[in-house]
Amino acid sequence: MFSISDPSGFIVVHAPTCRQFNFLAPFVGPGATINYMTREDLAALVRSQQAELFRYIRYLGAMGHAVVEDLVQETFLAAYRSPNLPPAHDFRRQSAYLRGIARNLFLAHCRQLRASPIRADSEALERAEAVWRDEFLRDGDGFDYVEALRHCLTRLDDRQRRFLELRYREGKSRSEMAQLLAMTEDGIKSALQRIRQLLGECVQRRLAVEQV
Amino acid sequence: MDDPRNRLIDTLLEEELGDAAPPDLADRVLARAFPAKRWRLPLPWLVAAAAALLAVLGVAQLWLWPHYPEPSATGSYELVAGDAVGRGAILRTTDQPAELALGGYGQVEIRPGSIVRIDGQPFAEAIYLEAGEVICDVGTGVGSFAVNSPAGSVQVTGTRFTVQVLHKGEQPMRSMIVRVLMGAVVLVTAETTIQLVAGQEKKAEEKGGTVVGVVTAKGDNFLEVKGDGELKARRYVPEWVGGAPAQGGGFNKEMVKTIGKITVGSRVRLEWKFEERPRVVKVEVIKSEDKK
Repeated sequence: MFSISDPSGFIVVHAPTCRQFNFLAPFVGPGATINYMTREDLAALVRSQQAELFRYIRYLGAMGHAVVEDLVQETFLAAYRSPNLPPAHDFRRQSAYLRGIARNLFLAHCRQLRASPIRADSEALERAEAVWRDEFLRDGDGFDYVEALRHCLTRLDDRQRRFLELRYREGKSRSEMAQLLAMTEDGIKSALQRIRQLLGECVQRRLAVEQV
Repeated sequence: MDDPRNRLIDTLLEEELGDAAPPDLADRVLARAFPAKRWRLPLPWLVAAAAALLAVLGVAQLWLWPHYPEPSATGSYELVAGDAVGRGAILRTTDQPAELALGGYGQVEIRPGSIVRIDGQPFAEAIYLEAGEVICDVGTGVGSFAVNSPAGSVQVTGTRFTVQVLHKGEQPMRSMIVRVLMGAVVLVTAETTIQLVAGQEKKAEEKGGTVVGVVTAKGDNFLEVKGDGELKARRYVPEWVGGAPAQGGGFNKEMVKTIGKITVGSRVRLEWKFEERPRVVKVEVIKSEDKK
């Protein structure tokens, strides 16, 4: 099903089948949008993809809950208006398509906010996409990776676990952590990076073992 | 955090250890994708629709709005002037009373032997009581109401009162009695303006003045002049001079001589004063009947 609506709201057409109706575009006024999904289709798309998209946009570097939510919504709205969204039964292609929209929107967002500390460019985002696709998803939904990470967390020593508790569970900033642990902020930053690197290597090893 | 792997672990740790759980955005996305339909008419259509609506409301108002009632009369009366009961018409009662309804808020009982002219306008009803007596019942909060008479004016905004123009024989005098039954009235005469409240009674009479009108009748020692705006002629006699008749008193001989020269139908300006009755102080012929 799809619908056509023009800006005045007068023309609303619903038609059966999926996305072979581009020929209708010339027949509606300038500024009209052709929507290729029904309300139910869009609801199903959002509910099946929003968790991964939310995680992915945070992974790209979007800061702040509101910004991430906005980008997720904009991604779905762009997909809703697009004639090229893969069908629902091809979940992986659909997921990849949404990630592509999300990257473009995030890039545009970063360009709008010139004062933002986030630096993003197309190449960096493509590298991020490659890691997400090849190392995190690995033709799946990333569940194996998360399971491996949970396992690796149990292997950390108390000091490392203390660092992660302060940073992620208690939400302490680096300066707060530095005060609590009698370290410099750079020391905290380096320690956290080291722990994450250790966890990443642990996850890779565990996934490699599981694959064997 | 340029390394994507490091960033990936960071993201997952925020979820695993923190509270970065994704919210359900389905409703918000659906609300934006399928906004509630709002009728947005182009401006010319909007203007046309508003004009049509105003026109319909205007017609409806004309059709449904209660009309202001025209004056109406019941009872026993005769029309002295005018084709029908309405503004400008003069009603005369003989031996039976009549009822006059004005504007829906003024009820006037015209007592027998009275002459009333309907004056006023919507929401400012008024009558001119030439002779006789009226009992007025005036509702509040609608409009003003006045009873004018040769002797003065009674203005009210909600009360019940009577106005009686006094007579001397057949002749209505330039005096009246006002009795207030309920509420309050303002009595306006040439000399004064006073407020009368319920239970009060006041006699008002003119002490003198000037009348311009037509001589309708005359005798050796009187003139009857119908003043402009008056419904009935009034009799004026010369001043009395010299004490009682036994002591040689009598009408002012100069004025008797002047009256003798005036012909019926002449237009005159007459100065008068009230001493027991209206008396001619000075009379001047503006246009003689002989010269017509």
